[in-house]
Amino acid sequence: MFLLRIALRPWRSSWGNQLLAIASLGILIFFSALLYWFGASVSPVIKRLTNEQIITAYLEPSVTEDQQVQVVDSIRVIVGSGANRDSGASIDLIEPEDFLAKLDQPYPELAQQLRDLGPEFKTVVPKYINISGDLTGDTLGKIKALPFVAETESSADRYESVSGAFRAFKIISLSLLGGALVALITAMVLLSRLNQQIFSDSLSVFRLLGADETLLRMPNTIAGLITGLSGGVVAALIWLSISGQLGDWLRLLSPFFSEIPEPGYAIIFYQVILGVLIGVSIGFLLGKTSTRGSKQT
Amino acid sequence: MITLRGVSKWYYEGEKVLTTVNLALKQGDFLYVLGGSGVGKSTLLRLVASEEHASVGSVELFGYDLARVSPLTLKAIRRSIGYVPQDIRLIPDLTVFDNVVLSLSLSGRPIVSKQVRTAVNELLERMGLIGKRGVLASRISGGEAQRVAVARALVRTPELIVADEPTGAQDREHTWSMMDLFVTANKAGCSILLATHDREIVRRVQKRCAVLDHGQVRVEDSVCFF
Repeated sequence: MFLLRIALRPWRSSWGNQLLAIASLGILIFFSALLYWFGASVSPVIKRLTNEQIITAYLEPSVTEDQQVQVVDSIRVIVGSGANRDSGASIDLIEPEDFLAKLDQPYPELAQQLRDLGPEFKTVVPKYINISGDLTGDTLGKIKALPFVAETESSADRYESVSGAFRAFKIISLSLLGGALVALITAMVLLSRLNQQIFSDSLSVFRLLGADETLLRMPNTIAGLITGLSGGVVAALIWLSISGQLGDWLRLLSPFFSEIPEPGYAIIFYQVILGVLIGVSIGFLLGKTSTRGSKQT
Repeated sequence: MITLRGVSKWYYEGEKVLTTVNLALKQGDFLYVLGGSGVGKSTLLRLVASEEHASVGSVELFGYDLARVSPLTLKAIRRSIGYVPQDIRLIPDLTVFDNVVLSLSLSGRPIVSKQVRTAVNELLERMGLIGKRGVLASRISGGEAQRVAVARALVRTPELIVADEPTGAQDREHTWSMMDLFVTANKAGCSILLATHDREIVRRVQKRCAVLDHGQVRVEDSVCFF
């Protein structure tokens, strides 16, 4: 009780400073949480952009129907074990007739010329399998190694520029997060030093009355706890008030954000914990410095 | 109990406040430290109260050299001392009562709530502070604060009381009642080192004394009259 009353002295002597400090801490904690959430949310988008591709596997012209089925089954197994999402991959076998049908619309004359070749056209027009979806990096190699697969192509680089932009976003977010955390710690250190000065007279009395080091650190630790906890609660309140719109705002930026998850409520808890941890640890660490009654020469 | 050997003390400016002071105080002794302003009385008492270290020489308390003791021993030594600093230093956030109880709780003695309350109230009554027991220390007068500081030292029934001008802001009535408490504590075996420049106190309560002059102990006598 004595310690709590002493720890509340900064509030009696300069409550405005304390309120301002709590507001600053709250905003910085919220900002850190926002950047962390953004960085964490953009990671799956980048992964999808990197992994989403269309692989075309051209079959050997001599492949029989049974062998064709065997290849498709093998691809299904490879894709099934390598697909990043359940519904992400589709496998389509394109027969020469299907190819001609697709060719009819844009190039009818070419399609007719190929039909005119009679049964021979099957040796000219390749059979191929289209595999599209969120695939792992080794899928292409595995398909290429299958028997009766003559050639493979991939569109892996299709989203390279977009995923590069998102990677840059992520790096910027993490850099800003680091800056926000440094600012957060700096603000807490400055406040803690100020508070420690306010406590110094009382601590000199404590020391001379025989208090140990842990007890001497308590007023500043409690003051840090109060400030950190309050800052965390302020951050949590800001988060609660706007977290509903955060996902929507991001989705407006780009359709690639469509899969971004809604911010969860756990992050509110983490913000309070972060505030408490920073407040208590800095209060305790800086609680040792100064105080009269220490050794002088 | 207290032994000062060749103690000199200077601060950053370089001017010596104490010069080769030798002093001894046995268990149950009562010693005045006398002298005018700025002669080094408070510095001497701060050294004994383990608030500062000597620049040269050694200060021994209860057989321990204060410059060489472990933090744990220093804590135990401090718990055995009742210190009344010249600048009083009460904790302004606590009431008069709590300032005194805090001292008791930090002395390491087991505390029984009801007994503590009774003992502290009795002490405050004797100090003329019972009416102020619930008042914050920041809201009492200088004289009252000085008496609280003395109560804070006495309540822990220490082995040694180091008091720096404890009667400086008191009227005669409170001065004598405070001196009575010091004498009673002394009779109970507590050693007392008391700095004052009040000649009347020294005349009326005759004890050994050490006179400081320009940082040196000039006179040390069995009974001091000056």
